[in-house]
Amino acid sequence: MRIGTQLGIPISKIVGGNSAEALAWKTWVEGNGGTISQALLDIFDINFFIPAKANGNILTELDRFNVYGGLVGFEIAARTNLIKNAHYVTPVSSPTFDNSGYRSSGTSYLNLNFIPSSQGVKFLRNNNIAGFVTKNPAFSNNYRGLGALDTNTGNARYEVSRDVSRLTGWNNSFAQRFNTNTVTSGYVFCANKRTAASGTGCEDLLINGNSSLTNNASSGDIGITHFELCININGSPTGSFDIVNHACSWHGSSNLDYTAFRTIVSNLLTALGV
Amino acid sequence: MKVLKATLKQKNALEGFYEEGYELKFIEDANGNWVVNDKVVNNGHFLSIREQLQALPLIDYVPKEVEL
Repeated sequence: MRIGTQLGIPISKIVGGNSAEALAWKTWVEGNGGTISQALLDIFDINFFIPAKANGNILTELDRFNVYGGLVGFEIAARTNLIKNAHYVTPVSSPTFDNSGYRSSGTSYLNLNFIPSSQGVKFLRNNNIAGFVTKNPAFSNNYRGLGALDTNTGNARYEVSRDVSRLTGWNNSFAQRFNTNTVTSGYVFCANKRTAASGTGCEDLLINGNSSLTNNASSGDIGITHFELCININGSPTGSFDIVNHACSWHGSSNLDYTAFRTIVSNLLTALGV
Repeated sequence: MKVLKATLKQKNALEGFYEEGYELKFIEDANGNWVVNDKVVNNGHFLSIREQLQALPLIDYVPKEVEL
């Protein structure tokens, strides 16, 4: 039994035990050598696992979803995927970890341990969405958000980055696409979505709910892991690191109910005090 | 911003995985130096190599411009 908002009481505690999904995630966190407090597990359950499962889409259309913000003292939980027991995130050279999530020092980053060509189940070459959330971000410089460039596989590239006055997305190494409707306050969702190999509107650069549909052909499948707070170029990070905190990030299918996902994630981040 | 500078030999000796799966990896700056975030010195995950890290000189970070 859960105490509901219909009683006018803020939801903060689960009575009768956590959902199977929340308990599975706790097991994965512990398997990685970490812990998660009961209070935080309840917050994740009430604000993510339960509504995501009720939606019927969110949990089945993602390969990975990590929440980095609001987990000070529980860093291993922040590095543990909420969707399945895989793609445990590796912090490389000490990125800053605080209540707002992870940010680069200018040389540090995250290895997502996610290789699209061999490990993407929902995130596929011509059907995908990936992104991250920052709070009050600037669009004043080139800050590479996440992705990879694999020149050994037909110049395959996938990237989502904040740039000067725009969000930039790459689906091949030849042409970038933009969304210039930047937002610099609140939680800002930055995402790149692809629904087909080519054709009108096959690529979409998303800033929150604002969509920028373009025609941009895809290229080869990426055979190296995606990095976050920078991109991976044939095994090495770029020079343009993201020095603004990422509160969370995800990879999944273009079939993800992005609107519902955004609402659920925003509520979760609010509940976590990010 | 300051970073720690290593020789190629030091870089090869120090790079790897440490406590709780934290990784240490140097990157090349604009001058061809192998550098890493100076905060690694105070990161408890790298405690086993702290002395070696403390011995590395601090230099100003000059990012390598990457045109992509």
